[in-house]
Amino acid sequence: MNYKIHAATIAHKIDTSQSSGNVPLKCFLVMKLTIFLVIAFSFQVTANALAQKIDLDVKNESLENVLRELRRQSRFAFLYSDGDLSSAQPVTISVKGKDLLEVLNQVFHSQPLTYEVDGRIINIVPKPRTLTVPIQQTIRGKVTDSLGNPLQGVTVQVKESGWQTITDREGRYEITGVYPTETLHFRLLSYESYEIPANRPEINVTLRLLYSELQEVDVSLNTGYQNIPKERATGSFVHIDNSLLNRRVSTNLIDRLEGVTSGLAFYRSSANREPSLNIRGRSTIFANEQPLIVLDNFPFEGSLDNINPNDIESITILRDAAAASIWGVRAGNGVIVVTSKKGLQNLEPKVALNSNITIGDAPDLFYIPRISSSDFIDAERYFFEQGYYASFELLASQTALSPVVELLISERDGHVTMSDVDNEINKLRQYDVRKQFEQHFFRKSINQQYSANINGGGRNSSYYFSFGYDNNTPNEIRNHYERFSINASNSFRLSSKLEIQTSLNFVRSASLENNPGIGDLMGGNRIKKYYPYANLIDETGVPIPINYRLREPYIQARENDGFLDWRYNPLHELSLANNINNQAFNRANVGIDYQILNFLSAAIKYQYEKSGLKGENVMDENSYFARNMFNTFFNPSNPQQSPFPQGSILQTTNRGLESHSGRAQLHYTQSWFNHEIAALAGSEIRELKAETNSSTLYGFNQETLSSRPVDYVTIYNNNPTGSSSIPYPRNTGEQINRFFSWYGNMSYTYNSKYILSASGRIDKSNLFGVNANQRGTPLWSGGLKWILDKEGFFKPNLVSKMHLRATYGYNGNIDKSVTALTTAQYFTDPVSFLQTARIINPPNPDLRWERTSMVNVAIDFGLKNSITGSVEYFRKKGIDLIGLSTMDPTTGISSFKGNLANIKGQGFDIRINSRNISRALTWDTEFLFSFATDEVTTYNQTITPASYLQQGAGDMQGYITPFVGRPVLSVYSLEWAGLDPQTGDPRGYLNGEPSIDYTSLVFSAQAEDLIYNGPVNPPVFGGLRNSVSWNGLSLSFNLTYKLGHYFRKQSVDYSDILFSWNGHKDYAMRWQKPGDEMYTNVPSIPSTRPSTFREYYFYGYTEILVRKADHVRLQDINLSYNINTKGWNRFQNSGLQVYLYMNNLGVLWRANKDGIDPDAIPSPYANFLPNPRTFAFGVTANF
Amino acid sequence: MKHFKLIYLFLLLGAGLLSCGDSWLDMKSDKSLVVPTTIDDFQSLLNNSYIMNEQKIFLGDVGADDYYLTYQTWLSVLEEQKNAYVWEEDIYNGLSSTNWSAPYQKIFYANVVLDGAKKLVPDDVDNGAFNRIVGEANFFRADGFYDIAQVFCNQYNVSSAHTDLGIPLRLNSNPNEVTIRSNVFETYTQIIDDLKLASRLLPTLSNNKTRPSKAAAFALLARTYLTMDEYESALLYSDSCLQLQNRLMDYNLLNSETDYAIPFLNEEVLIHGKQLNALAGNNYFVDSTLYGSYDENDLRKSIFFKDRGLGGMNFVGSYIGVGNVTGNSFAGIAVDEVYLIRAECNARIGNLSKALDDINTLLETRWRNGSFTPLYSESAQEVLEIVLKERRKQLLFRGLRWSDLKRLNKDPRFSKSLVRELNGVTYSLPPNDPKYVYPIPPDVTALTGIEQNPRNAQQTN
Repeated sequence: MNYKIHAATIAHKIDTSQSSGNVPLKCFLVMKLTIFLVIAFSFQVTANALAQKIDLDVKNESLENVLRELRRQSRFAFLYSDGDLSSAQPVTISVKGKDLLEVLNQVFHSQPLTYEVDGRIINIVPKPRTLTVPIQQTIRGKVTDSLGNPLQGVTVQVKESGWQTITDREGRYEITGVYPTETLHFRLLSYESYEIPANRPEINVTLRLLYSELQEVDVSLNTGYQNIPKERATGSFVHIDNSLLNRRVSTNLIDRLEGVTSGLAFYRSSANREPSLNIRGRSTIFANEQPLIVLDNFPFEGSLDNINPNDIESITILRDAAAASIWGVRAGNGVIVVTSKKGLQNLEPKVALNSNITIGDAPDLFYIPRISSSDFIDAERYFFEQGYYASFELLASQTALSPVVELLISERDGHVTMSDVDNEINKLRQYDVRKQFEQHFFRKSINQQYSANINGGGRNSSYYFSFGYDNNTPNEIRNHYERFSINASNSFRLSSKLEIQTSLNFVRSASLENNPGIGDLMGGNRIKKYYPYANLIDETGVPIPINYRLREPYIQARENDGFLDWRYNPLHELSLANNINNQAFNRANVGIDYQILNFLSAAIKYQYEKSGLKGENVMDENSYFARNMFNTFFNPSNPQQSPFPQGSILQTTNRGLESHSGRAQLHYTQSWFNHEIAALAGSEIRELKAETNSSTLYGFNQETLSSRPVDYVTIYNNNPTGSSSIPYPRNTGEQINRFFSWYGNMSYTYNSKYILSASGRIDKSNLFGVNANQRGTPLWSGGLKWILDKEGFFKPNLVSKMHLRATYGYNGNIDKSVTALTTAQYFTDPVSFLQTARIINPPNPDLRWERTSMVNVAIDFGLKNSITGSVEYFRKKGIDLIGLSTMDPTTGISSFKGNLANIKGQGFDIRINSRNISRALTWDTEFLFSFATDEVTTYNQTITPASYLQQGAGDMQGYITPFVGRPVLSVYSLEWAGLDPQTGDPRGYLNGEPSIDYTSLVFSAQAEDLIYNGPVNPPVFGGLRNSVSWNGLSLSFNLTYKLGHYFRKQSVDYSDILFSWNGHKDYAMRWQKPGDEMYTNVPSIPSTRPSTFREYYFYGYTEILVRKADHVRLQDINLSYNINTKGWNRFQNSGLQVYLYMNNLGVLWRANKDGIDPDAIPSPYANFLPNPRTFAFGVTANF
Repeated sequence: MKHFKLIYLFLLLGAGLLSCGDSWLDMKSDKSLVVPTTIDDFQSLLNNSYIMNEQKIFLGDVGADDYYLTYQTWLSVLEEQKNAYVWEEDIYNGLSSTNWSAPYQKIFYANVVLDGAKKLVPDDVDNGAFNRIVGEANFFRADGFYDIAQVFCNQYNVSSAHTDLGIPLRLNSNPNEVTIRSNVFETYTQIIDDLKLASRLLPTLSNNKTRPSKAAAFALLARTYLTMDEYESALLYSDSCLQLQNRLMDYNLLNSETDYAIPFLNEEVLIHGKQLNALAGNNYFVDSTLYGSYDENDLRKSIFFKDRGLGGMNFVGSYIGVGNVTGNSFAGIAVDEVYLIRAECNARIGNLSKALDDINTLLETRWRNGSFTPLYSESAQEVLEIVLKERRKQLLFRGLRWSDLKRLNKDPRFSKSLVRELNGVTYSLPPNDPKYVYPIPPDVTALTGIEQNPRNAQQTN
């Protein structure tokens, strides 16, 4: 039964026959007009459907709403484009019990539109022009952007009649039958629309990019479960689009977010190269504090190095409970959702190429505040005169002494003359090991990056294929990194209802890690390695050994007994090192979407991820490690049967990670009249298996791959002293984490103005030992949004946009290191070799997951398209956080880990974008300001003041000492009473009096007496980015700032000179004679043998060494130029861009006067210096 | 209706996942983790030699007279050790002490096993293995209680045992149970009860010297009764022990040329034990009077001591065997000690020839072959002096000296004042001084409110 009823005598569709030949369907798609297909929930259509009686009574209602209501009452489908409806007039009608056709005629009477009935569908089309119009003309032209690039897909519409066409690939259009009195309207999403009288036969138009509007309009936010139009989002999201991501040149994806993401802080320390990410302050104490990273719908578990940033389309940061609660227990620290690039349907193949080279400065090792060689030698001479080295000479361990001390010993013992010794020592004064390291261990870095991708699609399919190659030559000589990645994603529309997406990801990387880095120069862990005047090559350029671990006389005496050379030659070691890590990462992703009913669809997704790391470290037989092992076990009285074989040592490490993730989800979207509901519900199941094993082969022959068995059980005498068995370095481990979750999420919109959202999730996991019913924790959120600017009373004079949002809800966090039942771990007893167990966790039947509640209120605003922005305020509470409490040691448990702690936090995030100039020259500014604090509210562990001082800042790995009323990580210090004017001893206050009783000052202090200086991590941070573009040339530069935090500066610790051959440059400023205390706070050399109390425990923790860490840096500059390819036959329409990018340009302002970059504070545990300045040059091409 | 079928299918799929969920989620997260429930698990906990054998209290030896420190060395040792060396009133500087927590950790392990054993269904259990874990747990618990009592309680004194402060007796693994101090009588009664039960359940000898045996339990009972001055009982149990194991090492077979001549887990060792920290390193010098008391033909003189030219004699004769440079001291139980207990008891009871037999048997293996003349005396006093002198010479750095000092100080014939000299300052510890009882670490008293030991003589008088 098929009807075809014409509402008017002559029915016309949009006339495109005279344009560039696009068929209407393609035209629709390219225009990216949304098609609302609304079909009634009905399985039977009756013949007399058109006789359906309609009641309608509206005044000045939009046509769209009227059609929706008609659809609801008639159960007919209406097909229209929103572009068409934009020309519609408000409807006023009052009918009761009328036929549908009669009502439709009445509704469309005064509209520029009319309708066609085709079966059960009513097509809404523009009204045909009447044939009686006397004058008509054809208008042709071209639409370009401000750079002269042709714009495809621009809608060109005759405003009065509604006739329209779109531009082709070359930006050309042609439209016929236009009155000269009419007006042409040009519009394209994210460009300023443009109107011009249609009074000429050729009209060329330039459309200007709507900069800030672009970000506000075009965005749909990906939560990893769904795409939410930004308009509908109640929660706190930050969207980083492709152009912002590509502004920065880097091998690593996450680095690109720094300084451009509101609310996301990068906490940097000199101990780790990778920064610690933080969204809105700290939400936990001991559990993982890093945000969850989601790549293409599923949590990403592998190394972030396995993501090629060129394959990434955009990133969405989920900051509050409403945004992130869909991720349940893993969302407590916020979520970073990474979306990779995909092909588009109906797009001819497009190729994009990107290639760049980044050159980085060599690190400045003189940033390390080390004592000068000359000062160090003076100190050693003084200590020698005091006899402080006498006990070292007696040590059975034969611990090495520095060259100067050895010289002084031989002088004392009469082996060498005083003048010879003085000459030798003066020669040593000229060396500086930092300079040697700069020459022999470091260099400029060169990173090369190449990527290519091709994407496109046919009518029912799309594809994206990419290839990437990175080749990094880092600052450290003999280190290298190489990455190769291939990505392929496809989607197939098998029918109008069924779509399949697949994606495959393949990454291989190899890194050489042969350079020990700067750690040995920092003096951590009391290792005596590089004395400041260590010299690594002799006059002829031959690498020479340093004094290391054992005294030279001992080594010499052993050489004739069959021992191997026992000296350490740093440059030989560097050249012998052979440590390579190969990583492989594979990911396969399949998704099926099925449209069950027009308001209901189902999706099933599955992902398999496997990554493996294989490390092979060959310690050459000539390496110190191999020689030292041999010598340690060597028995000179029985040299034939040395327990430890000669030869290389091979250490292998294998780490594998395998995950399966599955998800089944239903989507429901329904709208009627003023109501819209979008909801989803689903369940998710995940298994993550991590395996590790490592082993070491002794007596390894690199040529034949053979190795020698050894006896791991017998305990042998060690040289020079002690005894031990040969280490048995074999380990295997396996961990399986399983998660099962139910989740749901809905949003309801009324009148396009009021939005209500809610989200809930139940997570269960094999959190070991918890009873099944305690595993799950429901986490939920709710949100509201009011689009104020759509209200009738809203007068859009100055303010063009005003949204108010508020949300509340809970996210969770897991600490898998605690269990509910007593758990034990098996191992082999080192004494009896029996199977043995140790208790890992005492019982804790009340164990729960950590929860974080968060309130977020926000306002989004826009001022006349020139300023847009948002202000968000949040408060959060961390509840049932895992904390430690001190236990009575009599229980046999020294501390107990359980849900014992609470913290709270609050802050705000401000983002302001402004377009300052918008002509041929454009100038845009983005300002980001974030503030986030945290405070411990419940914590019940008694910790010694010394521990707060040492560990409060969290710089000792793995130790955190929370204090109620303070941020989790804080800098504490002791009161300073100045230097003693007579002795230069540092003094503190004991019972109100200056004192040098350091033991009492440190250990008898009460925790409450400590000075709280401030938080370790910056409570205030943000960025200021200015972008200027003119005629294809763009320049943008970013200032970033971190304010309000503190750090502890290192200073002298004279015992370092004795015990770690180290010292601080403050030595030069030490107190030397009475009166010096007026100019310096650096203590004198102690009158007795240096012990750790005076400087390490006391002076090092006094308030005078605490500094403000506030600083502003010029993070980077990006300069790019779009080459005009007009007239380049073959590449007419290609985009060709060259760019220059400079990163880490330096600190512009810092609160400290010590020249310290607060993002790289020198400390004994430092492994990295400030990020070196880099210059990148690159080209991108699109055609 | 096809659509509804699809929806139902979808929901069923989800529900299916949910119902299988709970068992699927029972998977262990870390394969190397286990919730101890079986005999095997409990045995594994008891096999942990680090916890059960190698964390024995060292505070006793620190305060005792086997060694001395130079001033420079003294400055560099741990605060706790530094203070204890000169018998300071407060030795902890406000910090906690492993001398308290380590033995209680061992007791916690033992209690976890004993609590777990109660839940094992007797029908299901292999009796031998079950008896063994209960026996071992009782042995280790008693061993822990004994060690703590030596350092933190008054010497056992029949007249005041019911009023003298004992140690907290933790008898189950529940960490929430309140900590209170028992009295000395209760403390020793518990030790003896645990050991008697252990001696019934344990195998005669253990293949593995980190695990207790009936012989070890008898030996510890003998040691405990000796500490209590109950010589009849001490004699009974030392004799019982020696009936099971009486082999002595012949020091003539050891190579005194090597640095550490005495083998690890040697045949005299009844149960292995090691102190938390040790006083036998290079910087610790053996008391010179003690060193001078050895005869030149006494092999112990060359096997126990080494002169490394550091300014004093180093002790290298620990039954820890091939000692290492940090010089951890043996603190287990060995047969030589049991001989000396039996000899002392016999001497005190009046069985002088039996006492001398044991001493002679022991010394036969300690002296150079053919050089030893058996000792003889008919004076009870003389025999006892011989026994105690040999005890002093054989059992140094064994974690026993502090107890012996406390015990012998009660008898004016054998009491001794200890003296230290550092940088010109002299410190002394008179007999029966309250400082023979160490203070309880401040974190324990703060968290539990249990009574602190008086360190000040005025307070006790």
